[in-house]
Amino acid sequence: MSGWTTEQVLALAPDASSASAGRELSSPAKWVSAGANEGSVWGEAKGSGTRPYQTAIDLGEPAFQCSCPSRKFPCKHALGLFIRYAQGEIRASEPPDWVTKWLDSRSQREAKRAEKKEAKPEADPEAAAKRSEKRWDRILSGLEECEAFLKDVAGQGLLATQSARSWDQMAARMVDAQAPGVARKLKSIGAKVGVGADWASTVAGEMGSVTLLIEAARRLDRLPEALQSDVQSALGIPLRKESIGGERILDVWDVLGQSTEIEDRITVCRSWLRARGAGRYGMHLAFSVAGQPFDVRLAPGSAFAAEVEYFPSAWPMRIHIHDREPVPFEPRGGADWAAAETALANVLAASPWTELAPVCLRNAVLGVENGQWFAIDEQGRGIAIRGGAPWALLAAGGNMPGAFFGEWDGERIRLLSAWGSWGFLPL
Amino acid sequence: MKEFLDLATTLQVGTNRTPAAPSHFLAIEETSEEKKALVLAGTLDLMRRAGSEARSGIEALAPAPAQEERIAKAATGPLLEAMERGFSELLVEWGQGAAHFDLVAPHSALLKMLDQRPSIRQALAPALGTRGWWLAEVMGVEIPVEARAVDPAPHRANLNAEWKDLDWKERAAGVRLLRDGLSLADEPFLITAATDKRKEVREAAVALLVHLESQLNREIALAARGVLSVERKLLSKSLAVTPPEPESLPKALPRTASYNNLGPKALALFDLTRFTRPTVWLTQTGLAPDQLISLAEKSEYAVALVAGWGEASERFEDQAWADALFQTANMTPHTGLFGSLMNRISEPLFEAHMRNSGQSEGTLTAVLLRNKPLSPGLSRLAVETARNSANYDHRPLATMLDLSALPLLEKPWEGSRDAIREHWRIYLDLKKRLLDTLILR
Repeated sequence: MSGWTTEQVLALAPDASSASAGRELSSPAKWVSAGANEGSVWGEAKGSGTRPYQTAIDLGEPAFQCSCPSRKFPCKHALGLFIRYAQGEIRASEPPDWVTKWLDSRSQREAKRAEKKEAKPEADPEAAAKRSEKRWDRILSGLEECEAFLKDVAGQGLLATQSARSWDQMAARMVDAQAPGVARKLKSIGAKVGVGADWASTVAGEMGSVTLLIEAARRLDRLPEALQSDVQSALGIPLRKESIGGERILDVWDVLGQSTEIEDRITVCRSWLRARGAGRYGMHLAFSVAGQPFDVRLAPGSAFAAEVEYFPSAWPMRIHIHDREPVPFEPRGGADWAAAETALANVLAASPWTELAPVCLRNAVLGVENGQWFAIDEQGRGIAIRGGAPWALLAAGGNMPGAFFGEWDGERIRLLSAWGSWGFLPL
Repeated sequence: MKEFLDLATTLQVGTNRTPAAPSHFLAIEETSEEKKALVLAGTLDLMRRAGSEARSGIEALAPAPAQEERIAKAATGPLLEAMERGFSELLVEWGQGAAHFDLVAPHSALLKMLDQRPSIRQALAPALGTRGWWLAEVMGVEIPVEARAVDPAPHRANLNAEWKDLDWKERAAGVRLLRDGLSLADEPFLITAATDKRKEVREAAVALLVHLESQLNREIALAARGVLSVERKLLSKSLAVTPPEPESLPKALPRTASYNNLGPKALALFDLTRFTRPTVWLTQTGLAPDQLISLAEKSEYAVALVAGWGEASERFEDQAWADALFQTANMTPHTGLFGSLMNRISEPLFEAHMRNSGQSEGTLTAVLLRNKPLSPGLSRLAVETARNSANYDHRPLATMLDLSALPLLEKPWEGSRDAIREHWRIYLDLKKRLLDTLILR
């Protein structure tokens, strides 16, 4: 058992054509040789030239290596080889020298990185504090401008300021003020003014939320430490891995769902996990700039044993994952909407600027009314679904009751996966 | 939450024109109306999101019926790939194979299958299974189905009702559809159609009537009586041909105005022959097909007989007769006879002919005309020939090749375009993988 499925492997593909090419290259006829051991897989693929391409996979990350000229990552050879491995087609054997060399060089690089981290000289705390204070002053100054802008809009009325341009301009100002989180919120608000039937309520709420955030930033030192982290995070101040320091949980984690969004040139990948023993959720964020590979890529439908560390928050959710060891996937969890709603209310009470929270409904089915799809829990309560019609779920499950997992945005749920008698289906 | 909606309205209009909600709702220490409104909005929105109410009374979609069919689970990958690459012939082939083995498509392929163009959806319909049909209904996707194949009687009734409003092409097509589930119940309608003012409609109707134990068939058999007889001499035989009088032929029999400068009697003989089942002549003369054809070639009515038999072998799908014609008859006077026989003659005969013709583009053309799956031997011959035809687009051949020809494509092509070679490799590899999903289950 490889612990990987073909679908999970294909989810790693950088684009649809790579996935298609990878599937084609999963045919044994395309490979001169292939082998695997506990931690790695390797193979030599027939190429257009005389020499085959050498492809290797470190299963720990997973990480990929291929001698083909493709700039895509992972390339079609790596995907094809990985699919063969997932399907149990590759026999165990001793790795050839070129694989051992690659794995050794990876280990050496990791060791050097760890050494460098330990040996890093302590930054001058006084200078660091001064820089931090200066940055904070810039942010506060920017927030003052933002509040003045919002008050101006509130005074004149939204109907008088329908142009998104003014919102974009203030957003750009927030970027300059090093508050990119506020910038993102302002751009989002500007795009919603005058759009859709309920735009006024949505925009009013979001403007109010930004106002409260600005107020919280002004009173930051009076807030509990955990909530301070949430305010800083909402402002867009990046948290450094070195300052994580939150609760640590050693458990088996099932990756239940994943969503990606593109913000400017950055792709943000949000993976939701659940600890099998502790029953806690965790959310892992990965970033990719301009199409480069993610530093860590988790596949929905996979599981691993690992110690995770929570980032500080009044509602700890974001996690950093330490060494992973793959294990078989066993999705669990789920409740009716009443229980989920209570949990969500507690989240917002603890951390008011939380935009997304995980929700898992058990024994849910789908219904539709006037073109709006709903997830209906076992008590018959319907929760609106964000996004298009869930045809893939209907095809797989035939609308038999199952567990639905997704992201809750305060109004609707975006389905990310479902499982039931039909198996597990990432959406 | 009414207070929130009121506040949203206030913010639309602007606090300069209308004040925010009364500040007794929340103790807000703000001096400006704008700030008060914004703080209130943020607070109320938070309460609103935290107390999000679910809807009740939403009816759940009725679940899919239980699925009894066997699912070709391994077919997901190859099917999706075939659809992505647009290899519709492979999809059609797989659909037919799945129906043959009583298999249906895996659920993971259904969405893409329902997204194909109507003709492909129709071809894949037998492989949709209970889940696929349920999903199509939920999604509102139409699956064109040959109504005739489902239930002949309503189709016949519909055709009858609409007959006067259809143009001649629609009438001819509607008649041809009656072939599925053809029975004597169709005879009355076909007899009427056989009197249509358009020759194409008449021919379509008669082409079906001759397959039934119909009145027309009995009239044809009567007209054929005595037309051919064998005169046996001491050391030889000859064929005596007594062509029918043109006016004695069944009225419903379509008549040819002219063919190869044949006279009226020869034309009558031609029309009678092309709608008479070839075995009738064998019974009448007691001769094997090749003997009869050899004798016919010596008669003055050779052209009429050979042309008529050529068409009849196609109409009645008589391979033995087609083989005999191919080996014995003189094709020279007949346009198109060779091509039509290519579709009908047996595989061994076709292969022998191809080998004797040598490796030429004519060989490939004949293979394409035949448009049928090739035997392993013929596949290898076709590949070898195609390899020597650098500029010939061989892609249509890919649908006919036997899988054993696949290794031949691994060898370098001399002078061939890389794109064509690559296309074949992908196509045949996928074909093999698709067929494996039907067999290896």
